[in-house]
Amino acid sequence: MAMAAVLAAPQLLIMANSALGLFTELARAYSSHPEAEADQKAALDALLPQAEATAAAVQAYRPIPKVEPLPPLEGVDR
Amino acid sequence: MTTRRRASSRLVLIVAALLATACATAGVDPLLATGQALKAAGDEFLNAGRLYDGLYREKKISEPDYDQWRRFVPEFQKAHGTAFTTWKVAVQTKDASGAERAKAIVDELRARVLALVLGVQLPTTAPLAPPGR
Repeated sequence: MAMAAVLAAPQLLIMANSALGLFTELARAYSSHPEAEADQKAALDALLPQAEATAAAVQAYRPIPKVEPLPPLEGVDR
Repeated sequence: MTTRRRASSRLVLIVAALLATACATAGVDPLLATGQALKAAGDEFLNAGRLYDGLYREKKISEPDYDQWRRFVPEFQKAHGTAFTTWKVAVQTKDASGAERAKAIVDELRARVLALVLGVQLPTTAPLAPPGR
């Protein structure tokens, strides 16, 4: 049985590799399909203002400034 | 039989993982993926800022720890601004290599924000062990 598994493993790997190749090709074909392109363009158009707003918020952010101790006042009696 | 079943089930798992990876990357436009990563990096930075500011106001982190954040902020803002501009130009010109350049900057930024958030030193509320133990 173990021998059968060893003999079958390369065939299974070849089949898996073919399936993976086929799947990747299908995914590529779908992504270059006009409908998929339209979907991705719509997603990009929706993302652009959101990313822009986030980028603006990033640039506007300021950390809390460091509070330096005040210098001693001159001419004031303690 | 058991060995064969184990071997084939492992193979199925490996193939499923590979298919999932292929599925996640093959069909996604690099411009879209980079834009999403840019937005995520910005959100993570703003969340980290809220975390650091809150902890600093409550005096739960030290001045040197917050100072580390203060120094990081302009670095992040500069790099994020560059990546955003690069991505926006890449979107306008449909330049996938520009998107990949921006993605490399964003990945680095996200790693640094994560390292800062994970590295924030919080004081422990657990009672100190008595001396001599």
